[in-house]
Amino acid sequence: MGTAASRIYLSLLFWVTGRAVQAAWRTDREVRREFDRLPDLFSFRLSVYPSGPGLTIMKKEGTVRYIRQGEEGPADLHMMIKSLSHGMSLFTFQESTALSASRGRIAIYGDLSYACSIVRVLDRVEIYLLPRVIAKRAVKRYESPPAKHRKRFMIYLRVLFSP
Amino acid sequence: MTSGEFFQFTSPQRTEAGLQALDRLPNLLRSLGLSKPLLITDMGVRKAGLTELISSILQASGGMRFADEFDSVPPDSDTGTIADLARYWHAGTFDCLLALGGGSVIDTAKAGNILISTGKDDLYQFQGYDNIPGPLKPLIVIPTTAGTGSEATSVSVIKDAERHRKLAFCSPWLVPTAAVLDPRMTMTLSKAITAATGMDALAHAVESYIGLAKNPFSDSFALRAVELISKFLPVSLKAPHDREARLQMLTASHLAGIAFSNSMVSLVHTIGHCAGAVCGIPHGVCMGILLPEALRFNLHRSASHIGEMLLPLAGRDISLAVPREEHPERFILALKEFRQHIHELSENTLPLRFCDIRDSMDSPVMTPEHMILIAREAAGDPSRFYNPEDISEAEIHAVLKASYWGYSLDQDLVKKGHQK
Repeated sequence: MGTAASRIYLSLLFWVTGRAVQAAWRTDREVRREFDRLPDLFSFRLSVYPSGPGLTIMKKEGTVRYIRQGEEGPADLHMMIKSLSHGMSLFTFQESTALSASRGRIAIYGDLSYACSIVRVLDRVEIYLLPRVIAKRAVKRYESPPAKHRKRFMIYLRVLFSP
Repeated sequence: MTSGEFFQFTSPQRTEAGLQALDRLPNLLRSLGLSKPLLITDMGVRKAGLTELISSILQASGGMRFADEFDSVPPDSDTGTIADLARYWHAGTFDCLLALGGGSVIDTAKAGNILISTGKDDLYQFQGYDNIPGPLKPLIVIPTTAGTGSEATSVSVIKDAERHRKLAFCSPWLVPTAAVLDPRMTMTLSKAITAATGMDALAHAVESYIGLAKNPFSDSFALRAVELISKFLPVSLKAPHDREARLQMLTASHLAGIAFSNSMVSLVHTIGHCAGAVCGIPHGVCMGILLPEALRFNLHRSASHIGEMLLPLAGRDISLAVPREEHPERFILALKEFRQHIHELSENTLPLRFCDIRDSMDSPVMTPEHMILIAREAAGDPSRFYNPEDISEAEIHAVLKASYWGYSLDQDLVKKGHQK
């Protein structure tokens, strides 16, 4: 895939994932529990180096919001994917976030204990977004959440229609 | 890791090792263009007379000396000490840091060097992975224990005095400029510390060999470290003044440090960091207790890698006598036998189970409530990224319980992941 196509693909995936994190926080108890560990006004950004597409999530006054590109400020935790090709490996689900980080493809600026929570959230969200056969490749351990199909439906609805 | 997959490896450091390696320290400083070192150490090292030895070596070589000494590093260094060190540096005229001590001293020097070199006063902004913008001031390290390996690593972990948590810094810029390995620095260590730090080095080597970030370079360092520890840790305990054995243990610890600096550590450290923080159990003791059951937890994912360490740990006779498919289980057994041997040689000062660690009132240092807390805290320990299998709070609790009572973890309790 060419550079421009990769950027468009990744932009779309970041948008869907960012919105899905917000939706999963409303839908899934485990995701909510992970965010409960994080302080209020905590913001997290996942992006491609140097100025590639990315997503920003903020926890504010007890709610979790996806922040649109261009509206984000500096993040408390920034996970920066070191190249577009590494971003493609991650978002074509050839490897999990944990594996990508352990292979040095992601720089992490901020508290690493918060990064652990965020990686678990991303894994959980991928289990909802992706078919089992793909999600198994994208996460370290595939565990089917209770009422997965109902919650998946809710998350997709919220990705598409929630404000 | 399989062939063709990307990996990175960093070991940019100069190492001077030998029975009299410290005699070359003045030459090392000169060759690096350095003449005004700030010595960073702790009171224990000073009381053992090690600073005097180095001072006399410097004096004997054309009147060189420490420009000043910062000797107030506590056993579990924190952000306050780092800030003090940075202020101390800026108040004087120095051209390098010289760290003399164990893990706490070395990590203090590394983290202090971040503030010193960047001129900033906020350590938090450099937390994370690859979050240090450029080269730091020259740092020479002389380890006084054979276990931490910190003199070779790109990692520094410091206690956050305000928020009561650990701050982790990981960057290739943190690898010290040079390390000097001289057995005179470890000769006076007690049997308890020799045994515990030796188990720490073994845990570094073993975990770097099974972790997700393993690569062919780190593998070779790890295997050699396992072999050296297997041979020379028992000798260091039987004959504490055997300089060759002490040097080989320093070398093993250094090799294991290079290995885990590049491929990181995993479950043993995930739980061990938290057990240390919650119960105050020495790090090396935690490593020795947790190692077998944490490996058993990962057995379904890393069997071949675990099995490959049987030869360096147990030797050729055992390795050849056991069918290859039994090597992983046999390695865990060999590890337990080795640990038992070290326990006996250390005059029972190396505990084999958490339940054996008692306080002054003869109560267990680790309680069931502690275990719950440790399992919860471990969720935020970054070393879990590198474990081959994902691990839940309940599974961490199961590994802890098995290590507490000294029974074998039931593998059926482990939920198996799917990733290659």
